[in-house]
Amino acid sequence: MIAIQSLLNSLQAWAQEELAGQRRMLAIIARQEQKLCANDTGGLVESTQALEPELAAQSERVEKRRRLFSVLAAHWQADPEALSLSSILERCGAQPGLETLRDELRRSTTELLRRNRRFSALAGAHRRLVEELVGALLEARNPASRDHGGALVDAQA
Amino acid sequence: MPNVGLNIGLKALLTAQSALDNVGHNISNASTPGYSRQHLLMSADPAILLRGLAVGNGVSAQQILRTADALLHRRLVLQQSSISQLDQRLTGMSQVESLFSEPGDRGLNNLMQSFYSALSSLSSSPEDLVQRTGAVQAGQSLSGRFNELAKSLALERKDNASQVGAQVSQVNTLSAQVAKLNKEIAAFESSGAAANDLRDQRDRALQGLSQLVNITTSEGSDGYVTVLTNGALLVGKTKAYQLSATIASDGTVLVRAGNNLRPVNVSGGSIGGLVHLSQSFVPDLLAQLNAVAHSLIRASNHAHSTGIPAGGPFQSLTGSNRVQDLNDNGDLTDELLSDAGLPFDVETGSLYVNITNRSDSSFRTTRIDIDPATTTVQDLIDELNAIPHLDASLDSNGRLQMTAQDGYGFDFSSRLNPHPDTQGTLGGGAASLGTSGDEPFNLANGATLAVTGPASAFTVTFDQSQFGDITQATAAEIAAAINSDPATATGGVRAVAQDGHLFLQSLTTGSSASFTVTGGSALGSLGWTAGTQAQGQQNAVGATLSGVHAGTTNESYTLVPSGDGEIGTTAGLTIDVFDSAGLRLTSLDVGSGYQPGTPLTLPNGLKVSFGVGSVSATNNDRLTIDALAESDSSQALVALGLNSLFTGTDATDISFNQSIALDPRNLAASGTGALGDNSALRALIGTREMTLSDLGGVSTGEFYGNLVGSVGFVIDSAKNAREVEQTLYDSLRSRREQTSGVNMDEELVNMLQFQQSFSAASRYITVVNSTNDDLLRLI
Repeated sequence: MIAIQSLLNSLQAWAQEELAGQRRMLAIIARQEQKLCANDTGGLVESTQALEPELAAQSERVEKRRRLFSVLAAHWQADPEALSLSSILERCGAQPGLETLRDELRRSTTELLRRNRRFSALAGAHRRLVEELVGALLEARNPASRDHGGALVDAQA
Repeated sequence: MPNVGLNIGLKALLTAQSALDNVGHNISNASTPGYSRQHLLMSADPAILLRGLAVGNGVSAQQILRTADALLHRRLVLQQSSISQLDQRLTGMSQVESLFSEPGDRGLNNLMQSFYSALSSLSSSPEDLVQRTGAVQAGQSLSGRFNELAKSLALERKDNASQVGAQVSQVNTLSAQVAKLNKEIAAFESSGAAANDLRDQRDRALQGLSQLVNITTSEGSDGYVTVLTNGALLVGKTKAYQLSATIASDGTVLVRAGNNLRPVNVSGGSIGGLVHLSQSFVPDLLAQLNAVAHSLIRASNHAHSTGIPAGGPFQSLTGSNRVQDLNDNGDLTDELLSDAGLPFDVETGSLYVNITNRSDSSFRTTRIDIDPATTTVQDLIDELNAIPHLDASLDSNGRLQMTAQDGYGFDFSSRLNPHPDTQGTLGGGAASLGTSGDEPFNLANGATLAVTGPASAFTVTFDQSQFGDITQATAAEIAAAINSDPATATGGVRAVAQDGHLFLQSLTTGSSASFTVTGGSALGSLGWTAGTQAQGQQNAVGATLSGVHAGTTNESYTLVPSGDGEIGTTAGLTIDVFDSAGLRLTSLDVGSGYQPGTPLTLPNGLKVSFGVGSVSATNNDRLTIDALAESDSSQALVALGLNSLFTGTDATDISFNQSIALDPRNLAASGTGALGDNSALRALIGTREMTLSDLGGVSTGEFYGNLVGSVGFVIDSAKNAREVEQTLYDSLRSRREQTSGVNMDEELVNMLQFQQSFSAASRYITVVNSTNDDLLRLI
C-alpha cells in the first residue's frame, strides 16, 4: 500500500509539472499569436523557437508518466494503455489533491489544444495572404509591370 | 469563455488581414511618385470582466497612418523650386551662349578682327579700290552680325516671356487641384480618419507647384494648406487665386496674383528662371552688346569723321543723326547741343573746319569753340555759315547739311596748313600794324579811330551796339566794327584779328602801300600812338610749315620777331616761338647767315621756313600757328553723324555708312588729303586697342571678350550651383524615401521570413496537437 501511495505521490508531482509546462506553452502560443498579428516575423520565429525546450520537457514528462503507469498497471495486473488518471483515482479511493490536479490538467490541455488550433488557423490565413503578396511583390519587381503599377488610391475609401 | 475566445481570434485575424492589406497597398504604390508609406496603428482592446477576472480582449486596427515628415516635405518643396529655377536658367543661358557662336567664324570677335585686318591691309595702299571694297565688306559683315545678335537676343527675351504665360496656366491648374484636395481632406478627416492618400496627392501637387514658382506652405490644424508665392496668396483654404502674366511694352513680364494689381516678384521655380532670363540675363547682355556697338560706332566715327576721302575735301555732307525738338516749341534750331536728342554726347571742345580753294589747294582753318550747355544748334550753324564759301543748315529731317560753294571743298582734318600766314600779319606784303597787347580792349561808347589810308583819310566811331561789352571788346569785334564802316574800305584799309590782337592792314601790297594812324580817343586803349605809320613791302615773308605734329594735344605756337629787320640779312634778327601759355619755347635765328627757305625746327616735329622780306617788332608783327592732334574735341561730328563710318546708335541699328558702301572711295583713309596718306586709317585702326571710358576703361574687343567670358562664367556658376542643389535634393529625397518610401526588397524579405516562420510554426503546431491529444485521452 505504501508503494502505491508513493507512486500516487509521484503521479501528483508529474501532474503538477505537466500543468506548469502547459501554462508556459499557453503563454508562448499567446505570444506567437501576438507576433503574428503584429507582422513581427522576428518575434514570431523567436516565440516559436521558445516552444522547443517546452516540447522537449513535455517528452520527458510523457516518459515519466509511462513509467509510473507501467508500475501501477503491473501492481493491478492491468494493461498500462488501459489506465487513465480517472481510473487510477477510482482504484485508489479518495485522493483530493490528485483529483483537483486532474481537473485543472483537463481544462488546461483543452485550452492548449484550442489555442493551438486557433493559432494554426490564423497562421494558415496569414500564409495564404503572404503567398499572394510574395506573388505581387515578384510581379512588381518586374519593370514592365512597374510602369503600369501604382495609382494613388485612398486606403480608407 | 469559448465565445470570447472565438471573438478574440476573429479580431486578431481581421487585424492581421488589415496589416497585410496595408503592406499590399504599400507595395502597389511602391513606384508611385510622391507616395508615403502607410502603417497600421494597432492597439490592445480593453479587457473584459469575466467571473471577476479582467480577461484580455485581443487586438484591433485603430488607424492607418502616413509615414511622412512635414518638415522634410517643406524642404523638398523649396529645394525643388531652386533646382527648377536653375534648370530653366541653364537651358536659357546655354541657348544664349550658342547665339554668340564664340569662338567661331561667325563670332563677333572674329568679325571684328577681320574688319581691323581689312583696314590694316588697306593702310598699306590706301587708294586701292579692291582693298577699300574688302574693308567695306568686312565692316558690313560686322554691323550685320551685331544686328543679328541683337535681334536674336530680343527674340530670346520674347520667347522666355511667352513661356511664362504658358507655365502660369500650369500653376493655375495645380493651385485649383490643391484647393480641391484641401476640401476633400478636410471633409474626410472630419470623421477622425487620416486622408493619407489625398494628402500624398496634395503633396505631389505642391511639389509640382514648387517646380514652377517659389512657394511657401502652411498647414492649419483643420488640415487645410495655404500656399503663398512671394507673399501673394495662391491657394486659400478652399479657393485658388489665378496667376496671370502680361508682357509690358518694354518687354517686362508682369506676373500678378488674383485681382492684385501689384506684380508678384517670382524668383523661384522654372517661372522664376524664365523671369530672370527675360528681365535680367538677356536684357543685361543686350545692354552690354549695345554698349560695345555704341562705343565702336563712336570711336570709329570719331576717327573717320576727321579723315578725308579719296576724292578730296567734301562738296556737301549731310549728317546721319537728327536734331530733335525736345523743348517742343516747333523749332529745332534753338535746342542746346547738350539737349538736342542726339545719340552721342557733344562735349566742351573745339571743332576745326578747313575750307579749301580747289584751284590752288590752299585752305584756311577755322576753329569753332563749342560748349554744349550754352551752344545751340543755331549757334553752330551760324559759326559754320560765318566760314567763307561754306553754307550750313538743317534739312527737313533735322539733319545738319553742309555745302561748299563751287570751287571750294571742306573737311574736318587736323592737317597742317603749309601756308598759315593767310592774313600777312608776319611780314606780309601789305602795310600792317598790330596791337601790342591782346584782347580784351576797354573801349568807350563813341570812341573814335582816325586813319589816313592809302586812298583817303577816315574816322571810325565805335558804338556799344557793335559789342557784347564795349569795355571788354574782343579783337574780332573791333575788326568787325572797323570793317563795317564803308569809309574803311574806301580809305584802302581793313582790320583783321589774329590771336587776340587787332591788325590794321592796307588793302594793297608793295612798298608803295602805307597808312598812318592819326588819332582818335580809342588809340590809348589799343596801345597805338598818333602818327604811327605802316609800310608795305615788295616781298612777303610767307612763313611755310612742314612736318607732322607729333604732339598728343592741340598746340598753338606764336611767332614774334625780336626786332625789325630783313630775313637773312639783318644781323641778330630772331623770331621767338611762344606756346599758348606765353612761355617762350625757342628762338629762331633768321638774321644774317640764314638762307631764306631753310626749314627751322619747331617743337613736336614741325618745321618752319621764311622767305625773303622784312618783319617788324615795332609794328607788332606776329603769327599764330595751330598744330592739331585733335580737330574735333567736341565730338560734334560724331553726334551729328557727319562723315561717319557707321550709322545707328547701338547693336540693333548699327549699319555701315551707305554712301561708303555704294562708293568705297568715300572711305576717309587720309588725314591730310595727300596721295598715299593713311593717317586717318591708322587712327581708325588705333581705336581697336583704345581704352574707352564708357566701357569701363577697356577696349571694345576686350569688353566683348569679357562679355562672352562672363556668359560662360555665369553658366559654369549656374552648373555648379545646380550640382550642389541636386546633391542636397538627392539627400533630402533619400531621407524622405527612408521615412516615407516603400522598400520593395525589405517588404519581400519580410514576406519570405513570414513564410519560413510559418513552416517552423506549423511543425510545432502539429507536435503540440498530437502530444496534447494523447494527454487529454489519459486524463
